[in-house]
Amino acid sequence: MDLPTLWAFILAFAVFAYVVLDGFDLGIGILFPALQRGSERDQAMNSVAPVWDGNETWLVMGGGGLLAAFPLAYAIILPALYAPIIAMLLALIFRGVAFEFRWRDPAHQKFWDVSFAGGSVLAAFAQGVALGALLQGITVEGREYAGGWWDWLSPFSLLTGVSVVIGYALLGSTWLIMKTESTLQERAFRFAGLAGIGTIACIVAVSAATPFLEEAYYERWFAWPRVLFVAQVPLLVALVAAGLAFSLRRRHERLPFLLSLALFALSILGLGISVFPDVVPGRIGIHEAAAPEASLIFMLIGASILIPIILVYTGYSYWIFRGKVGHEGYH
Amino acid sequence: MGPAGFVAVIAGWVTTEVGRQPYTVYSLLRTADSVSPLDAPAVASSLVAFVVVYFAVFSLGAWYILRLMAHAPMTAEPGLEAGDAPIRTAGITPAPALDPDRAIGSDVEGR
Repeated sequence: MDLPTLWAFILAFAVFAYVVLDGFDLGIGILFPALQRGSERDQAMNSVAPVWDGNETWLVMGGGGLLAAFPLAYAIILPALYAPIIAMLLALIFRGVAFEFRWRDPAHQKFWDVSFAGGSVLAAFAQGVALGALLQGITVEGREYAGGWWDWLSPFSLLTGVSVVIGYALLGSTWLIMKTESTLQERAFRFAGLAGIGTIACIVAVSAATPFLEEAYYERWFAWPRVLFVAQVPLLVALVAAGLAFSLRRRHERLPFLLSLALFALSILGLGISVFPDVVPGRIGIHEAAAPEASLIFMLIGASILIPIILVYTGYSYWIFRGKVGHEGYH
Repeated sequence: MGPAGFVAVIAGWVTTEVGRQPYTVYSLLRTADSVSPLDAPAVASSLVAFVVVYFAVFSLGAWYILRLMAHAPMTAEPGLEAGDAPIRTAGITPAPALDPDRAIGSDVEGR
């Protein structure tokens, strides 16, 4: 495997880690309006409070890694996705401060609840829109983005936006099943059932639309004999979906969350099949966009030291805060 | 002397930014060659949005800090072992977890 390919996999891992980890804590924000004021909302927020900002590490790593490893792709993608990315950042501010202000200022708790839920929904939606805008193909001339500032908006990008909100709600509700008890857990089981059905419907819709966006995507899914290998992905999605339905019905506490993670892993694998070996889908390949070899090696040394450290302390903090969240006070 | 630090930091920042013009990377890349291919309204609206959001959030934060400072100091500050709530390691004192009376607005709406 050459260096640009290796970096493409490292960044794909960062994106996966970001999507599932920040996905479940954004999902808590998306479910927030449906939870009862008081104990239910307190517990839900406390269940992610110790880990949510660590989860956003991977967003920084994905963005920083794209700039460093594939500077040409960064220079083209960021202007193309300018509006959804700015919207996401602004939304993350409102949601982030709500973690503190909501507890410091009980008199205005309603306001901070709106800030938390609204920020979470908007951030998730903007991420989905960005994904859709990237997949549907962006206008490139030479080595520059050449489209307008509203190009990201299309029926397909709205579909992916809604899909990510629903998918994160599934991650959030299965997380709550794992972390809570009694009435809140019962409610989370109901949400997980609904969000699970919604997520599967969204995966089907996005998967059905994607091959027809670009000739190359179609080839990568249906060319013979490649189709024999890549067809395993939708089959696995069907199996995992069945397992999720079964585990929810049998009231498993951990399995639904793990199967939801698997669903996201398969979705990202599917995206990879559509896009690889491009980094600007349908426009620019990873080798064309890659930084000089010396830079990639230099960064690889840094990444091979830092990523294990990040994984260890992240694992440690999840271990410390394992188990049910309990009812007591401020996180 | 309080604001002098801010003035110094901002003056230093302005000096570096103005001083390296017309280059982004000194003597290698000109500012005119390094601008993003973004439409002016996109940049303008994002700038306005950031200014509005930052002013709103920082104003609220400053207001909370002033409210907290208006409380008289506690005579017997409880130690961390006073509560068994998990605390954050980021150095934020979880005061309301230890003593609900210290939350802003606890006098308005008891928790």
